Amino acid sequence: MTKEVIKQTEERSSERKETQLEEECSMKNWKKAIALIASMSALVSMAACGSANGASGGNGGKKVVGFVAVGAEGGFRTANENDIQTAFKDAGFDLRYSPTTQSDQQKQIQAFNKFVNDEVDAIILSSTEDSGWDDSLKKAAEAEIPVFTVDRDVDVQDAAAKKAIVSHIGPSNEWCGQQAAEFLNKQFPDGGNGLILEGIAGLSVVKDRQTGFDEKIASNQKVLESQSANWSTDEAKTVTAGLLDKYKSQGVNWIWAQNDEMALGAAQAVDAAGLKGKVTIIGNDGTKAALQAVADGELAFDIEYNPIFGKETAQAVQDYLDGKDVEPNIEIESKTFTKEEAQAALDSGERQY
Amino acid sequence: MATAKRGNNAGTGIAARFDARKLLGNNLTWSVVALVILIALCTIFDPSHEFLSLHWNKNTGGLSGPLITMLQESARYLMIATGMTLVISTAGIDLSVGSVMAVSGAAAMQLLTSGMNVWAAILISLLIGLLLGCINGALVSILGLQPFITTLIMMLAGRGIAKVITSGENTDASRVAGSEPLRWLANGFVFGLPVNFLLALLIVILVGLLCRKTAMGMMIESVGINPEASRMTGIKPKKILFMVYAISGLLAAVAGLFATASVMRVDVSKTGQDLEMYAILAVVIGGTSLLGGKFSLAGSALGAIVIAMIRKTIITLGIDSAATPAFFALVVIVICVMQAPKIHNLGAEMKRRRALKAQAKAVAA
Repeated sequence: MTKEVIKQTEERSSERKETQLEEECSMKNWKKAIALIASMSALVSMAACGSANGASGGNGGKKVVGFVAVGAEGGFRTANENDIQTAFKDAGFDLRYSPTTQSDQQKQIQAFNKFVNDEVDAIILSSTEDSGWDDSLKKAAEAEIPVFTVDRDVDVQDAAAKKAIVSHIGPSNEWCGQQAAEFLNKQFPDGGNGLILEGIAGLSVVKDRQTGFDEKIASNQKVLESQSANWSTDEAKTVTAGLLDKYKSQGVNWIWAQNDEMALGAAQAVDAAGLKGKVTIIGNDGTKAALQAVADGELAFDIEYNPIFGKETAQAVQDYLDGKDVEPNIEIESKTFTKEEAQAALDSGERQY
Repeated sequence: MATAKRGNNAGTGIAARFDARKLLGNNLTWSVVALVILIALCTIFDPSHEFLSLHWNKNTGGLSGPLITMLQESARYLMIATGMTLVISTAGIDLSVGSVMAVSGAAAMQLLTSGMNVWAAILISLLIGLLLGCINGALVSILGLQPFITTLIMMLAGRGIAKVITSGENTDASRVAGSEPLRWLANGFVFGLPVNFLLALLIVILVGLLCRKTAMGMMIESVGINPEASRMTGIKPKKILFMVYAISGLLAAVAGLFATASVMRVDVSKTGQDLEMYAILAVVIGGTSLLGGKFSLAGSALGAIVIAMIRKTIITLGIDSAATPAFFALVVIVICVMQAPKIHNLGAEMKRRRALKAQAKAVAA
């Protein structure tokens, strides 16, 4: 800890010298630019220093829990992380929230290692990526710090690293895919042609939702094409418009979008093509905007991916620290929404996101 | 191989061989050839071979078909490519266009949901784009900072600003009453053609007239070649630099409105993502030198349409999502290679070498 501070101050003073030097010989523009960056990085290191000092302050004997989080990403994430923070506060923990930016895993790993060095009582990990955690988890296992993964599961190869993870808490993505497939089987008992809008290629969410879908979809349902629209509404509209043109002769009966954003984009493309009401569109996540679209008949069905499981997470951590047994996989229940159910959910006013 | 033949045929059709060479050397030719090939590919691989088909859509009151959606998407590329062309011809670069798109889009959607009049919301979000462009311009021209660094900082800051505006949410304004004019700008039709494409084309033409019918274009180019020399001839390089970044910011804001109004929803982390790269590619395809001093707005506009067409081809051909960046890169690199003067001089160069060899042989004998 102190070593770190000394190192940072050293860095700072050397950077300050550099800045002065640069200013003395600031003949050309690029030198000014370098000076600006140097002074900015000095500022950043000062800020980092400040927060490090703050963290070592007293906590009144409360158990300290580090939360390696994702940060601002969208409605789901905000609801999820706010809920976890409130739940831990209510349960009497000292929760240290450390969000990353732009889904940067490197920053998450740094935050994780810092929590291990600070010897917190437990770590909650909401990872942006499922691989690359082996080394950090091994350190946590050596320091005997229990790790609880939330939302996205982590893919660990190393046996020693695996020991660190006590439990995974979150809704099931495979279940989401299964619900979409079952709804389609029911809607089109005689089979139909469909399109799939995938999320960003390679993410575990995408793989899991697809696996669930493939398990349950009937063989008479024909997937004309499956393309990625990168979770984006705008891109989903373009992709759907293109695919509707491409498969005009076959006719598209349904579209399964792997998240709500893409489902909303698909709905707009279907509307522009004059096919409103003729194509069954399914979304996933249960966001307010999508539920409104289901209630208005633009989407046919929406599957929730429940973000509210702060209480369950806090309970699991408490149980483990009290020496009780904790399930290795705690699955959080989610709901599905048809038109009436969506309207009812909106009317209740309980949706947070 | 096939491309070279097509170019040759077009050339000899006009007149002498000299003309064919000139045509091959022209950047516009290769953009057109690329467009034709991509359209041909799409027509062949489209299951119903109806890629070029157009029909009247009663629902939207305009033409519809694959080409029309392509033109609709190209509008945003046209805007940022035009701004980027002016900036690049002063030997600068504007990496912030994608982020400025997100900021202006976020502002428009947020203002609409807060109940503001749609025209006021449009005006304010355009002004925000202009302001961000002016900040870039001031830092580059007055403080003399490197354009790369300045706009890189703005690129990072812009995403943050967009997130602050919407408090991290993806604001949805699709259900806001009275937002129809903005929706119409991005999705509507005039004379059967997409409004946003016509509007973008009009703006490109206006900027073109401003540059070529006045001395503006020449001043921009002279600043790109040598700011000091142009200052001595009475041009004010600082003013010109400030202006090009301001214009780029404003046009990026227009692009941001097109992108968000298309679905009436902003995605703070995805709107405009990577589009600065597309803009630079469009400019390069259009034949503007990254070293500055020479620009072609028509070339960049064509480049922007080529970019939109590549994206359309990816969807129509159903290229695997993992392979799309590679396909994109492949098409761009092929166009750039075909445009390279060295390639055009290859024939002459080989002739010269052969002659030299023969000469050497003769001397040896």
